[in-house]
Amino acid sequence: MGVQVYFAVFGALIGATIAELLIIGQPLAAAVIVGSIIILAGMKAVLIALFYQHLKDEPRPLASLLLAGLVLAVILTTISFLQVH
Amino acid sequence: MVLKLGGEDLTEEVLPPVWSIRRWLFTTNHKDIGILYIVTSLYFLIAAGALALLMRIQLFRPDNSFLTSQAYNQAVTVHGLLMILWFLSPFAFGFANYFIPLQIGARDLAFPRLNAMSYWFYLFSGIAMILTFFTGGAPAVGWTLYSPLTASRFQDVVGINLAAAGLVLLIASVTMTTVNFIITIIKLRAPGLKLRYMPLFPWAILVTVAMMLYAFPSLMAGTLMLLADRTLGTQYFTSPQGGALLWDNIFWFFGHPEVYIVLFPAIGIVGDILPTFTRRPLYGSKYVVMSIIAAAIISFLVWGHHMFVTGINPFVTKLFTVTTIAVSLPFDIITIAMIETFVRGRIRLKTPALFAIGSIALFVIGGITGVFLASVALDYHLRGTYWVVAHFHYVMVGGSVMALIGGLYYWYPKMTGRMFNEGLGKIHFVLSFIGFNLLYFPMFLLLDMPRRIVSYDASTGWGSLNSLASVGGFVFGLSQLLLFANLLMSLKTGALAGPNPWKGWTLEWSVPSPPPVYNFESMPVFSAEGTVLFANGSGHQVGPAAGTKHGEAHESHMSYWPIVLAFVSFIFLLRLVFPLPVLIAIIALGVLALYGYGRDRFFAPEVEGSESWPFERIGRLKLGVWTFLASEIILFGVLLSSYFFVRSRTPGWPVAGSVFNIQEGAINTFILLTSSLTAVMALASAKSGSRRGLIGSLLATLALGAAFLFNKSNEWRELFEHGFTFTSGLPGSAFYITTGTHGAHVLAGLVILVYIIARALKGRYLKDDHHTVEHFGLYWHFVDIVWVFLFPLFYLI
Repeated sequence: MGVQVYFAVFGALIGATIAELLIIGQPLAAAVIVGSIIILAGMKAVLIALFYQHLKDEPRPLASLLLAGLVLAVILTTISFLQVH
Repeated sequence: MVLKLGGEDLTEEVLPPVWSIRRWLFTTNHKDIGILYIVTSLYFLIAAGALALLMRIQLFRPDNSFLTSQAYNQAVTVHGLLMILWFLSPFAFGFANYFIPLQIGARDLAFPRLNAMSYWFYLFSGIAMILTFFTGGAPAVGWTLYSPLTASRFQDVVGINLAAAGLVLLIASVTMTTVNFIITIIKLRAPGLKLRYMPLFPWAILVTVAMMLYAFPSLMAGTLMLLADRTLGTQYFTSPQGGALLWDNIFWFFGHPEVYIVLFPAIGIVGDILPTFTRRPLYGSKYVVMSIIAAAIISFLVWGHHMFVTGINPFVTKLFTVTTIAVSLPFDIITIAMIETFVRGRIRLKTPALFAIGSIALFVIGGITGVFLASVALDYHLRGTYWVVAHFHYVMVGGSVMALIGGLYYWYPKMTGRMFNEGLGKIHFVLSFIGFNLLYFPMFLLLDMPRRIVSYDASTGWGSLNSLASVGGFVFGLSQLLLFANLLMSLKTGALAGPNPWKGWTLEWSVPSPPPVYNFESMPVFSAEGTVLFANGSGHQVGPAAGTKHGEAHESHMSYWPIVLAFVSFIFLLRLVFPLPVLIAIIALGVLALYGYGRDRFFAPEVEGSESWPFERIGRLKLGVWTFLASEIILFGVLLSSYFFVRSRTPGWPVAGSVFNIQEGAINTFILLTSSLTAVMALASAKSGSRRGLIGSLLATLALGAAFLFNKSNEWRELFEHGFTFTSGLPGSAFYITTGTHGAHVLAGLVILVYIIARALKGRYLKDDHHTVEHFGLYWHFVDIVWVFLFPLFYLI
């Protein structure tokens, strides 16, 4: 993977972080702000994983190994939340 | 320590003799480590069994005062913890250590030194747990460590802290074991050994370690939070918004899969014993494997059935009822397959077979009685009664321990080269089976007796059944002396076993008993039909001469650093006991040990052409790092899950900018993102052979990481000065523990980075030697990803 790609990804990461900082000052509904920031954070994480950790070049089962952990964490969070709400 | 093969056994040259203490302290050979696990876990069985007998004496008759209530509670707690965490799984992994490489045609595990370190962490963790009895009081809260019983105000003893420290060490050991076995089974199978040809035991271990990978980090997160509550004053489990429900979720997310983590190796052993003693392949073996996988997946979705009586949302309880019933279905298939194997086979009722049959019979009872607990209505009545005690002991002891003892008999001739006394083995089985049922069956009838009570009134009518159970307990417990006597005596007096006394079909029976240090003189190769071939044309199932011969293998089997690192970690976790100079010396020794570990000239076995689907293109170390990171996802996932849980229930959570300085958080975000760029640039430089680029990028990463930590410490200091401390409610708890855990990861990364830079300065890591830089990068980017979420969650929303 070319060095240019690393810099392009870095630019996107910095841009997304700036976007996060700008969004919190906007007169938007809390849900929109929270949702946007979480989506941006997710995008940043995916960019780092795909291009800096080179996950996009690895076999699919490797991504499954990591995705399984992520899914389980989301299930735990969701069910725990539902239990008390 | 160089091994040179070529037809002769050079054991003496690569390992000291078996009577040498040096061998057992510094060995990294999988068979030695397996024996260490088996012996150590049997010690913990005896310790935990003795505690159980104390409990049975206390309950033998009504109004007994043999034990104080505190002593009884301590016995209950430590018995449960030792049995489940320090006996059952480690006992099974003793067999796994010894036999997985043999069964898959490997010379050792993928990371032998890590394996040794894993054992020593396990041993020291158990010592920490035992030491709790000598520190003014062992934990007296039940093995589930329910909150808020564990809070300092209810348990103001060092014992719980020490037990928690023991758990931290144990989970570190489990993580190392998990990574090691996954990589071994995935990457080191003999050429041609497709996954579908693997015996059931390696399959069961593979699924088990996959479950451990995702289950134990949850316990690690919970234990760290508990330790923080007790030592720093955070309030995860003492505040109503976190408290018991938060602990229940974290603990049982680990705890229910743990039941299957304990059970699956036993099923694997039974699945190996049955074909041998019925002379037919396991009936429906493909479906058995699929059932194990299905049960493993569903097991992560049933934890809530342990919380039916906590008043949680009824909709959620319905979900858990469905998943709990669903998880029983794969076990139906497994049980039927095993019974069918017997029905269709020519049974030889040797001792291992008897224990396997006993295990299946008892597991059926344990399984069926568990299905009742899936019903919320029934669970309201049965929860917390002796019905539950009977149910899980029929599963854990009946289903698992019986099978593991069967495994011990089954593989004893292979490990020692001697046969045990068959008659004594059969008597042992009969007494164990009778004793077990005398002990636990009456408990089903005590379904109105609460568990964990120290005494009961004569008017309850529970006396006779408890007396019966206590008699059964002693019959069951004392009958194990026959096992020890038989196995110890047979070491000297047993008939020579030969390589294959049971006429077994799996690969371990193709090598001498006990196997040579290098396992296979001539490496096995599997044909397309699954038949084993050997390079020298000899062996288990003789086929045409083919395959690889490894006459020039150079492997190491001894290293000092694993035990040193484990010892340092153990002492470090006891640090509060020691004065500062000792602590500094310990840290210095730890740094030295890490350096020594890194510099150690150690050669793990390599076999060309090993089966490694589906990860052919990934090196074993890289896959190991990725596997470790998968467990880290759960660790941080649970911390963040706890954050969401407590935040959603805490009124007045600080709004963005009110407590945490957005500017400081943003600066640290930019710093860490930039460090990810420099880390990946270091890799690019290493690959292109640019030494200047490599060193420059690594130094930049080091500087940025250090700047991150410097800013973080400044931020913490400022927050403390403004009165926002560990004790500032749940926002403080969540912030300091989550970002603190992340900071510790950054620090660990910097320590590794210093080592890499030192080596890079000497010209390492260029061109094809770049893998270490790549592996470091995977870790560093992961730490960056975690921060990518922590920043908005704590600073922006």
